[in-house]
Amino acid sequence: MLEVDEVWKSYRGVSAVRALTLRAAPGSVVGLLGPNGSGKSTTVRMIVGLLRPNRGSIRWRGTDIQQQLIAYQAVVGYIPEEPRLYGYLSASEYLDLIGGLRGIPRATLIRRINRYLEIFGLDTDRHAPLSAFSKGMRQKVLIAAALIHDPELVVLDEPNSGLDVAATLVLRSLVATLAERRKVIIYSSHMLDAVEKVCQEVVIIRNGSAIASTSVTRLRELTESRTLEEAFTSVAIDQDVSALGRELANVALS
Amino acid sequence: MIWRRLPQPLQHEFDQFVLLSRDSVRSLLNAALVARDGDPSQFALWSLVLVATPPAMYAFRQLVNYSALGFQKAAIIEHAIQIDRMFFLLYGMLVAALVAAATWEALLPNRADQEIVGSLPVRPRTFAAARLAATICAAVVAAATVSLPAATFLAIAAPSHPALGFLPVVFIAHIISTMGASLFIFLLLLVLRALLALCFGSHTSERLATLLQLITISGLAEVFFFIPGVIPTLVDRLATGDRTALLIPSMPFAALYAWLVGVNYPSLAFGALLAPLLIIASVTVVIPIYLCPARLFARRALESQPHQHVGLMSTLAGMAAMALPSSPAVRSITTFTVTTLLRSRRHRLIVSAYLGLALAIGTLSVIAGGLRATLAFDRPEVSLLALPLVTMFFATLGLRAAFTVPSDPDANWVFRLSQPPLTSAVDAALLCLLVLSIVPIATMTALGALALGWSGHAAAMTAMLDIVCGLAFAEWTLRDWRALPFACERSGDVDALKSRWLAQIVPLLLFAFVNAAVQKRVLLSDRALAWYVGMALVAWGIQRLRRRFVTKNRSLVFDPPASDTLAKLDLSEAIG
Repeated sequence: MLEVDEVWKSYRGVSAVRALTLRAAPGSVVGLLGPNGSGKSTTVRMIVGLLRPNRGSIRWRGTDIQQQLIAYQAVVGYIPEEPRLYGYLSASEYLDLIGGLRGIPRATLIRRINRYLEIFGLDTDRHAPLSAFSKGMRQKVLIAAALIHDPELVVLDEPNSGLDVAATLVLRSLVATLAERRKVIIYSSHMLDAVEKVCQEVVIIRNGSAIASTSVTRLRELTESRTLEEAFTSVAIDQDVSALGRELANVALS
Repeated sequence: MIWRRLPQPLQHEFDQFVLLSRDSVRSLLNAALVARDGDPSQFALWSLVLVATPPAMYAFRQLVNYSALGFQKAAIIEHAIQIDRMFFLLYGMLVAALVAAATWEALLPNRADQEIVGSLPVRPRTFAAARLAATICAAVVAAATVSLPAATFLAIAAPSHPALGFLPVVFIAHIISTMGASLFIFLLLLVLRALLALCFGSHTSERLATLLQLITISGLAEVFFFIPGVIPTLVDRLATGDRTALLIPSMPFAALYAWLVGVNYPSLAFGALLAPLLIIASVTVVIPIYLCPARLFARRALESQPHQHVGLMSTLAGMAAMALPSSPAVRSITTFTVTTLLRSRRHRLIVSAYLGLALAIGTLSVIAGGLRATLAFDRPEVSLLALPLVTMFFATLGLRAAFTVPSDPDANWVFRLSQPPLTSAVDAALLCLLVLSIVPIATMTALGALALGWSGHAAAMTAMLDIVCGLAFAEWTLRDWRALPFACERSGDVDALKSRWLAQIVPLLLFAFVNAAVQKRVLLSDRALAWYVGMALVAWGIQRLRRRFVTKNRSLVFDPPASDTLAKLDLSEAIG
């Protein structure tokens, strides 16, 4: 069980996350939704241990993650929002580095790397530098890197970014399979249809605070919406989006 | 293996250390690489060849000289060899400083490193230790490359005379002393880097890399000219047992060298003992200063906001582009170019390498004036007038070389789509050379001249002469310019520039030294001054008309043809 309790994070006095609380049980997929700059990525970074909260606590199986960060990070798989990779490494070298740092035995690691590259169709590009990879190809490498050690907790920040339709469907199936295997999954995304399809629960963040935290079905009922997109719009967006779109089109005419 | 007997967690941490150290070597090479599309292994190889060649050649020349010294007195030979040894020590130390400047950015893990490694079960101290180990390894390799050939040649020369020392002792003493001196200066700079990052933040610390590179490159160029001047004095102080001289960083290592080969100077043992103590002290400081605050550095790398302030130059460039009669495209490209240069450390390093050479040659010009007793500071003299011209020459060439190195090739689609006219791109490049090189240097010349006591008229006229001839020179450097600054896919043009660097010696002599002599005469008469200005403007105008004619029906080049770098001996990459 992952428990995020009343966490706060601020940068130079500006609050990015305020008193955010969420729970994720094994086998559940919790979606994090929110507009740009709402604090989703900061929340995700705190969950994976990249950032330390100013206040509040994040507990994994009842223990504060900061108390045993290294042991906790050993069971976390993370797909970051921005596909940051060492561009001078090839896909197999990168996965080799990550697997090595995670302490996976060499023979097992090579077997897993080969299999991931084969499944993602990257085996022909295995020696090409990552800097030459497309965004989608890099995303596939990141997915492989996040799963290579069979993590207990999988945190996905905009995992569909750059993926084609087939890969997106594969990812959806992957998340469902991981949930069946009782993994804890945090899924942060702007793609509401994807979230609606893979997540059982959602937390909507706005201005750093959770303004809704419930199941997808319950949220739709509460907001009397047919889809998650409608529900999200009614809860998290103040602006008249149609009017804004028209205004944008008119700027170049002024 | 001994570490296989360690407890499991420590063994795992050691494995992580080894993996991260290997990766850190590539990160360091990548940071040192000026052109992002360059091959790091080729770059490393050629850089090592470049830095190892001068001391090897010098030692080889001395091998021949020493063999002819068999009949000389021991004291004379001893003094001569001490001067040579000091040269090798100074050179090794400067190379170590250059390695530190080139890898400065990657010495501490940055945001991207933390994004990748921070979420893995890796302790910040393991990562910091790996980066530190890789950095020190890089310095050791550079120091060994510089020391080994010279050590071999000097050892071969040793049997020529008893005063030169015993062959194996000379070899070992040379290696220990020069590598020790290089490592000491390198560790000292590492400590400085960490202290600056701790006290002032990584941004201030990173800005210092440009200054450090400028100083080391000019130092490397100057070290060859120190031999007849400064080094004998240092050796004399060593020979007389002057303990205050040991405050100069190279002196304890010179003492160690002399002591190891058996020279009998007074108080030599004290200096010799100081050298290993300095190394031990620097190692003792550098390890905790990197490992203890590793968590703090990691947190700062993730939480600090990228610094976006570019300062006065960017504002001035914007104002110049607005003030001069130029098209919106010229204004946009000028602002983009200046902003990119000010925000990109890689590009600033290229310019600073050129400025380092300018500083070295400029200083030499003043020293030469002093030696010929023709130097007077209170009136325009050739050696003084040459100073801004040398700086202008190298700054302009440095900027032009930097323009050809892409900043972010993936982002140049904006220019590919909008396809600004080639004339606008060249005009913008010229405007940037004016704003970043010619006008600031001319202004500083005028202010410097006033400070030296020149008349206001002489100071203003000198600045004006510098501006007009600088304008003509800038136009000349852009004669075959077909690209948009920083927006090429590949730094192809810079390769061409590298292969032509020898051909720049004649233009340097003409533009800086012959021109300075002409300027000195021109400043004596208003009529001559008007002629000079008129001629420079005509030269500029003719070149501009020619350029307009040539570029009229041509479009911007984004993909320069790939060049065969091996055939061109891609050496000057290592300078950056």
